[in-house]
Amino acid sequence: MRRLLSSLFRALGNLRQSWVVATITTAIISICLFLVGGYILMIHNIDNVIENMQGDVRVTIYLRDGFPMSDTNLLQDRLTGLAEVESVTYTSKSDALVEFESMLGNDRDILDGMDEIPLPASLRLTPKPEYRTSEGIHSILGKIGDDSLVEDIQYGENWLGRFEKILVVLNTGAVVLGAILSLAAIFIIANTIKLTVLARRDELEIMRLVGATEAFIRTPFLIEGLIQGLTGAVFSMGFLVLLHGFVEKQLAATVFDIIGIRSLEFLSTNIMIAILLCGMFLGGIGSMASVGRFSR
Amino acid sequence: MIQLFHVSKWYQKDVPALQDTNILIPKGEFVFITGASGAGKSTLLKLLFGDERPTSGQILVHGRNIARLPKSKIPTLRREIGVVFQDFKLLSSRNVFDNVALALEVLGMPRREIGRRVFSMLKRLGIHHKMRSNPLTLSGGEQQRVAIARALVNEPLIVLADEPTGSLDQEVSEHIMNIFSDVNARGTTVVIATHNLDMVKTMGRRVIHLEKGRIVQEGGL
Repeated sequence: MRRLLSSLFRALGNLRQSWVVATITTAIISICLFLVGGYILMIHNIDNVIENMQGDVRVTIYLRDGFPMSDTNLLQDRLTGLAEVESVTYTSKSDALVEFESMLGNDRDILDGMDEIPLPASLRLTPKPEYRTSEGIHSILGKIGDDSLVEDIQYGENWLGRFEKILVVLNTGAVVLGAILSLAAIFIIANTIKLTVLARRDELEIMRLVGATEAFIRTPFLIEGLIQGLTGAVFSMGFLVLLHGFVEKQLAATVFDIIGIRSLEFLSTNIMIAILLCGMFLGGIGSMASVGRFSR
Repeated sequence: MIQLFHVSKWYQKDVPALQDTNILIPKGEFVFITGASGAGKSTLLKLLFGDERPTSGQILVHGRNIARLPKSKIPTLRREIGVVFQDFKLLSSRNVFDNVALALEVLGMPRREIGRRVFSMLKRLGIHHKMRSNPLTLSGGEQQRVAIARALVNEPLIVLADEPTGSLDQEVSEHIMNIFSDVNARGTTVVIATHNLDMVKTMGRRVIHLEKGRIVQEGGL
């Protein structure tokens, strides 16, 4: 414990002594984590928007005219009983007309003079969240089967498939870009810390010559790296909070209504802890890698 | 006790730094290693404190075979050996006190004990009044005394010095040699590499003379 405290004091002393390089290192860690964190924040919110849109996935089953209501009720009960289905609601021809008229607004007079309602009755099926995918919908369609009551089925196949492709590209991009940014961060941090070590090369050499163990030499550097990494991570988190607030303010007035969300989410607690740990890891690894090069 | 058995050191294929060297230095002896530049004096000292490994042969220091000593054990060896370097190797980022304290810090000694020992050593060498100074502001003789203080402060069994009077005038050199004699009188083995034969003659101690990496003469001058 005494040795650890002694290493901590030496690390703090070293940081004070070489505060310029320490500040540069901390700033670089902060920028790297800000880029990685910012990217995660962006992907997280895009995911949310897409999930929000997936929440609107419905299957509309248009029904043929001329069948008794009991047939419709039978079909509705069968579909409600499916494991993939959350709910099924019936929309009659007159309900459909009311909806259509409200959609037309001031242009509703174009319907004047029609003898009969031109819109079919329908069953509107909402899949359970985990089945709101192309695959899930196809599974439901398979179970609806060929029913003489069913005239047509619509579920926005094109846009659902497109969203899923976008989601795959974004998630793959997140992994690839995250890996590239992390590698770049480790490289930059290791080289910046190397400057600190280079500046103290004589000290390391003399310590070894007077009998210092590798642990004695490396521990303060490790602690310095951890402190710089943690400080950099805290700053990056602060910048992310500012960025989040700024972007949310900008988007609130324009885009939120269009994409159907009310606010931008910030990083989850787990991700924030991961960024703090990542900062400490980067600082620690960078320090150890740099000191290791001067190990004899 | 220091023993070298058929020790050779080659840095390059055609240039031997030390060849088939056999030396026995009993505990508490004072020995000069002499020879011209490139004779192998510094290499011999580096082999003794594990800064270099012999190409062949065995080196025993207090019964421990340095040639086979694992890297992890080198710090333990160095804590028993005080080394005074030709270029002093003092840190300009630390003051005199902290430079000397470094040798005790690596032992994990409590701060208070370090303070007591360092002050005592600096006082013994007559430079305690400069303990807050930066080493670079001191004269050559004063810097050498700081380097000696660092080598002696943890009371090593052996002291090695590489050209300790190389850049000093006659008067200061004599003072430095008196310090080494005093250390030796307290039971510490002292090995000094030098090319200053006049000083060696004055001291009247055992001399090992090297030429091109070989011992060519041994005894007094």
